[in-house]
Amino acid sequence: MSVTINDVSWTWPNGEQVLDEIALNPVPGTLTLVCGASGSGKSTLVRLINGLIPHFHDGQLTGTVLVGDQEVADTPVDQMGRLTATVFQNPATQFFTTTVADELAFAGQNHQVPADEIRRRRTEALETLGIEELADRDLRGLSGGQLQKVACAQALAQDAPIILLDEPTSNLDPEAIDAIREAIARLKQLGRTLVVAEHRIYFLRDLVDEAVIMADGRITSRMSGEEFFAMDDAERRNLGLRTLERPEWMGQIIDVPACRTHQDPAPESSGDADGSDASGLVVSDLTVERGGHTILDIDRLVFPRGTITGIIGANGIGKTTLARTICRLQRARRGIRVTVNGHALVRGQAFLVMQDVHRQLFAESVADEASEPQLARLDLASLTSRHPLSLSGGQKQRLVIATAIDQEARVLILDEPTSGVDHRHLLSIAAELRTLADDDRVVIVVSHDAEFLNECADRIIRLT
Amino acid sequence: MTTNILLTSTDSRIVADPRSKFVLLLAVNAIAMGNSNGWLIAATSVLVGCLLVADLRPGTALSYAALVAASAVIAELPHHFVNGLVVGLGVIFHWILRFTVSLAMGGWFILSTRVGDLVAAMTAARLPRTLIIPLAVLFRFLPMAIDEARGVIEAMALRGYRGSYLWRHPITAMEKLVVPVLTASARTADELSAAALIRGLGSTRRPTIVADLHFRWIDAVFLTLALGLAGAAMTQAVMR
Repeated sequence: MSVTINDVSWTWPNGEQVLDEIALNPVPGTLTLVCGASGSGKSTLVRLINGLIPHFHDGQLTGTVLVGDQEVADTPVDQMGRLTATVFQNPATQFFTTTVADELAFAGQNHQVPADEIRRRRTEALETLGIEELADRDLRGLSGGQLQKVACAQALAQDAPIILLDEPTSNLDPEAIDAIREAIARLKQLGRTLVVAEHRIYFLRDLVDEAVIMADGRITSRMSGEEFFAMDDAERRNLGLRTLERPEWMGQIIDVPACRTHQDPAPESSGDADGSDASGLVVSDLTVERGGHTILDIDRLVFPRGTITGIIGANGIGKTTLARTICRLQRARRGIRVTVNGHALVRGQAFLVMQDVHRQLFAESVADEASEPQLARLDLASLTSRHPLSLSGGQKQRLVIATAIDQEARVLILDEPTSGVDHRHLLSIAAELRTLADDDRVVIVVSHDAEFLNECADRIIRLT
Repeated sequence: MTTNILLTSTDSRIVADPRSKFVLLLAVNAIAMGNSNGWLIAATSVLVGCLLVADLRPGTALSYAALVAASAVIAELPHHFVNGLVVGLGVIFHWILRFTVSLAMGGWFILSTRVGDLVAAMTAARLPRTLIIPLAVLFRFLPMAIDEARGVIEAMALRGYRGSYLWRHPITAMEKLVVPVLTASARTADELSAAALIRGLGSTRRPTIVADLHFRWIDAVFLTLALGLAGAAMTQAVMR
């Protein structure tokens, strides 16, 4: 089934025009990649095809969007699921039920598909994506990668000819991204028409038939998949795109077991590759237990000041738990010692910039949230009268960093700061972190993003 | 970070039709909130305790048992020592006991019932979609709102809004918690509705029932218990 977008423009009620004269016609059975900077209109384009625009979002639409021969604006939104299925960015909010089995049945039930057919599609979708073992699982408790595979299986079980994916990898580790590539390849093999909006693009090599690059709501460039992936690095950077090659970790990686085995004790100073310099953050005898299980059991970790340390490791290994323990948000077993520059770490000296930065802003204006010098330093001085929650993701992140500097935090930990960000923003976060480290702070970044860590980390600790 | 704070519904050991569970929920609440007393309240609280032991974490069942036992003892004190303080405490704990039983039963129902089964049961019972959809959304949304609130409380602690600050500035502290939670909840609700709408949730036609809803022996047990409790409550009322 084809998708035809004819000269479509879309303006939000506040007058902001996010799509401007868009024309796109993905060929049935192909994969169209839509990329471009944050705010360029990629997600809006996806919402145009699945009917959320104009049925769910208010605004002004001109032009026509046809899926097959049906005009989206004239098709009731509850019937759009028969034509398109969407995999969203956030696994937490794209599911309506609580179990894998219920989720794969949900769309079919609402479309009055007979129960036996729903069961057949469900089994087939799970088998096709190789996740039969998840059939009886509850959605809570699945990893990010598993959830996105379930979302792909859901799209398949929905039996819609067109599948849309809106930044499906932004919360995933490299292994999970490989698994999503396999799932997407399978959907394409089955003849579905795929439209993928993404910042991360390397994993789609050899799958893309047409690539379109958007900027400021317009399609600025179109090319075939081969041409797109044949771009040289300078051209790619010039277009503000993230890497086209699978990023490999550069530099030395220090492996630290998340749980030391007592038969084979960990080296005396795990992570202390730069010598036993105690003029930074030193964490010793850290044990965290949850529900009777030991999550972390680490002998000693050193994070030198003035440097950026990346923490990597598979999903669920305990990276975020380590960060939370250092910031005293997670209780550790008695006996833990945490020092900064030789003195016991005082509460407030270690600050965590969370993945959901919107949780960390409390004032009614940017000016009330942080001091003037910090706002100026982090390029927020022109926004002082705005409400913190009205800022963009990157601006919120910088504002939270400003509050951390104001409370004189010596240790700054950032949890997945680049989830869903474009290349330009990635470079600006890397530059900000360098400035923070140059001020003699300990900077720790928990991240899956090899491209980002290669850009900024001085050393990398891998929890194993 | 999203933490799994609730027991997940697929871990429930009792597999029963949500309709019979709901009838039992009504019967227990009628007794807990009605004017039954003595052995009937005791029997009801033991029954709820058994359900918690079967389906929820042992810690939850233990806390429930401790609270119910302590409340029962304190509520009984005025029968033995008559003075103002004891009577006052007795009245307060009389109600704490009843609310504990009622809320624990409600908690058990929510935590041990899959949204899909509940929706299927309500659909099979021919309830209107305007009632079913908000209930299903509530089931899905509550755990996320709780996770969000925990995240904001942690973010407040990082900024120093913790400990004595909370009781020195209770209104400001509450505002710092509520505003981000509400903002995030509104966004979450928006994303949830968008994802569900384009999968046909708003359709006015009756959805297909896929869940295996059939009468099991445990449903017979639950309905008998509900009838028994209702009968005993009526007998007690007549005898009084």
